[in-house]
Formats: sequence, C-alpha cells, structure tokens
Amino acid sequence: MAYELIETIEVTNATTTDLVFTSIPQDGIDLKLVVSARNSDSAPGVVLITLNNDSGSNYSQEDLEGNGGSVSSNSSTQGYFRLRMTDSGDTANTFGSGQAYISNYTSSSNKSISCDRVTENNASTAYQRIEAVSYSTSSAISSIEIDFLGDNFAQYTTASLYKIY
Amino acid sequence: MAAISFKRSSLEDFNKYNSLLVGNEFTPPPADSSYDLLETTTLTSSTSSVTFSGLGSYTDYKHLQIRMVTRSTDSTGDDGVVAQINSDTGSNYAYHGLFGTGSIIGSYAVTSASNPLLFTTANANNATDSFGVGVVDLLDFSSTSKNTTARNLGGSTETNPSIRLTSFVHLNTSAVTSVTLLLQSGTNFVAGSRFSLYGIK
Amino acid sequence: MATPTYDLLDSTTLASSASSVTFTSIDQSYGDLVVVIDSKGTSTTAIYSYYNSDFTNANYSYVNMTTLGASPSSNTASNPFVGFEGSSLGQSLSLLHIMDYSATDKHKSYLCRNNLPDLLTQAIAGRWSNSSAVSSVTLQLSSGNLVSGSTFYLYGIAK
Repeated sequence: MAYELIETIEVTNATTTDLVFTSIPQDGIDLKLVVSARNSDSAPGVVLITLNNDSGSNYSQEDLEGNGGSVSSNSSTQGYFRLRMTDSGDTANTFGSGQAYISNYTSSSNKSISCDRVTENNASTAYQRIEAVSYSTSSAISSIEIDFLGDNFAQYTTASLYKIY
Repeated sequence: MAAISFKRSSLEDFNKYNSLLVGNEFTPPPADSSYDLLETTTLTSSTSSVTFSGLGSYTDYKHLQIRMVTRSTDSTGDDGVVAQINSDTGSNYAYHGLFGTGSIIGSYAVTSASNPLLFTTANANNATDSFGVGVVDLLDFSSTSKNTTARNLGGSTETNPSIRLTSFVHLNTSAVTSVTLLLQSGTNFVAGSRFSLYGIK
Repeated sequence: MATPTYDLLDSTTLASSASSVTFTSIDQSYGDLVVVIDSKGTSTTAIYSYYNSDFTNANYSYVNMTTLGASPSSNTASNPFVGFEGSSLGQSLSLLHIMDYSATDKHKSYLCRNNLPDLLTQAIAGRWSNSSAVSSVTLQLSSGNLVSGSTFYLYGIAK
C-alpha cells in the first residue's frame, strides 16, 4: 500500500481563518491534498495555498475554467496557488471539492502540482477548474498553509493530506 | 516429560541472546492503508443500474471514490452515466460541467434537476469493445452537515468523443448511504461494465 | 471485506536521457494502473503511451480540453497522446490512469491530467483499440529523448 493519510484537519467552529499542515513526513514521493471547503464570510471563495510558508512570487500557474456558461483560461505568477471553493453566496450547506497533487515533494527541484477543483450551487454559476502549478524552490515541502485571506472557513470544512510512496 | 532447564540439560554448546531480533533484520509493521477497495461489481449481463448500498457501515473512511468502465446498449445517440444519492429520484440536484468534444469546448449548468450527469460513455453505435471511463470523488460522504458534492473526471473517445470535469450537489445534508449509477437513456450497461468503490481515510 | 490497495509496482528515474521508459511484465492482478510522470523536459514535445509494444499510432485515439494556444480548445487525433513533456520551466507533470488494463473483453481506455505550469493544463481521455490485457507500458516522445532526472512511477489499484 503506497497511499497513507498524514493528517485531516476539520473546522469545528466558524472562526478559523487558516488550516496548516506542518512537519510533513519526508519519507514519501508525492503528496495529495484533498479539500472540502466553504467561505463563511464573503465571495469569492478562493482558497489560497502556500508551501513552506513561502508567499513570494514563486508560483507559476495555468488554468482552464468553466463557470456554468463559458470557458476561460488564465496564466499568472503569484505568491500562492488557488483552489476555488464555495462561498457564502452559494447554496447553503454546499462545499467545494478539490485536490492538489504535488509531485516529488522532497526533491531539490522545482515542484510540479496538478489541481482539479469544483464548486457547486443550485444556480447557473459554479466553477470547474483544472490547473497546472509550478513552485519554484529547491527545498523539500515541509508545510502547507491554506487560507481565505482573512475570511473564515465555514464549520465542517475539511482538508486531508496524504503521502504516496 | 518434565521440563529441564538448559543449565541442567545435556546441552553444553549454546549461545544466549538477549534479543529475539538477533540474526534477523528488523521489519517494521506495514503502514496503515488509507486507500481501500470496498466493493466491485463487474456485470455479467446487461443491467440498468448498479447500486452501492449500506455505505453507512464504512465509518472508517472519510471519502469515497468510484472508478467506472462502462458501455451502454443505447443506439440512439450519446449516452451519459448519471448518479443518484440515497435513491433520490427527485429534482434535488444541481450539476455543472467543463467539457471538450474535439471540436468544441464549453461549460454548462443544470439546476433543480434529477439524475446528474457524470460523463458520456460508449454505446452500441461505437466500436465493439470500446468503453467510457470515469472517476468520481465524494468527499465527507458521511457528514450530516453538508450537501454532498461530487467531482468527476471522465470521458470516451468514440464517434462523439468527450472529456469532462463535472460536479453535482445533492441538495440534502443526509449522510450518503447509497449511490446508484445508471444511464441517461434509460437503457442498460453492457456485460463487462465495471464499477469499483474505494474508501479513503 | 476491505482490501488495502494503491501499490507501487515499479519506478524509473532517468540518470541520462533515454528514448523511452518501459514497464514490463506488469502484475495482472490489479484493476487500474496509475502512471505518474514528472518530466524535466523543456520542449512541448508530445508524450505517447504505447501498450504491449504496439507502436502503431492509428490504433490509438484521444480527445482533450486544453489551454494551449492562449485560448481554450478541444482536439482529437489518432495517437496515444498523454501530454507534453516540458516547458521553459523544465517541468511537466502527467497523471495517467489506465482503466481495467488487465481485462480481455474491452479496449483499454485512459484518463490523463497533463500540466505545464508556464504553458498549459489539459485533461485527456484516450483509448487503445485492442482488447488484450496490458502487460507493458512504453512512454516515449513523438521525437527526441526523455530528459535526465525525469521520474516515472507505476501504481496498481485493485478491483
């Protein structure tokens, strides 16, 4: 078996602004982050993810996104990468679903990341996105930080981190 | 026969070890698996639907994944694999998708719907032995505080090819106790179609 | 009864450039295969995934949705395309799922996510029009060599 849960974080109240995985074991090959989240404060529900607490412009990304009506693509280099989740304007009790696969996370090369995520809503607008991310670093990944830029995660938000080896 | 200690036995040539591991390499116990096959159904005859039920017994797991290889008996056009949660056939779903067909790329939304679409699959119009494939993830399936949201990647490369990233929400916070997979056309999955359910911790 | 699965079957890390990477004698007791390709290439050269040494492109087909060309598009072709091998950042990540590979009653279909962070991301569905069980997987570029430092991992998922 090469797929092992490292940790699950579950939001138990509505005053949690970030989710952090630290001291990630260094004996795996790849990491997989799975997130079911909702922004309880405002729109949009864009979860920002940094690695090793690095918020420098070290994340290059390309995405393809549908919004329930049209398709767009974007490229950028920023101080994070994103997993868009549902927000307070979306259908109640509805959470987004996303995953980020981080390859060779202990290597001394830049890290390649594959992201898929969806939001849902009983309305025309909901988002389906695939994304390619590069994290420019020679360091192994030892921590992952997830936040809504100061907004609160809704209660029952979960994030699970797995290692694949 | 009475037990005799080594000291009083006739054995004179022996070595004493303080560790049971001497001479043996230490083998750590296997890591706990976090990805388990729970059930598989491979159809032996054409069948209109496949249901995984009793999912409330899988309390050891946080998420579910279903991996599918499917073909439809329909011959009237494209056919889609759709899902039902907890046998709910009402208009209690919304679903969305990002898709490509080889000639167009688009996104769609269907609200207050029944039978949310996961992916389009091969059917009787397509090459013999061709099947469509899909992988659907249901996060926090046992939660009673969240509407169930599913995320799926699937497609097929038939006469009308397509690749899709789709999602649906079941507008009900009940825990997921069953998932039913069936066809948009109302016809049957062919023999050989396979549905595998996995639990993820 | 639950069966623990998702097992590492094989891996290769290229110490020098190579024309291809092949996984052979693949254990037939699983349902699906997952191949993780972390390529260090710098060109947008196609990666092909051939099965059982069938190198005839016409025996394969795929459809994708992609951002290549600065605007979203979808394409089809007759070859075993699973993505591009690199970009100016020297990176490409492909997650390839070969479904029901050990079955002998169906063509072999696959799903793939391919990612080049400074150029494109795409999702691909493909098919090998052959009902033989897959006993080998060969990954190679449409032209040129795979780059040193690229890694290839093969996992099996039980059914």
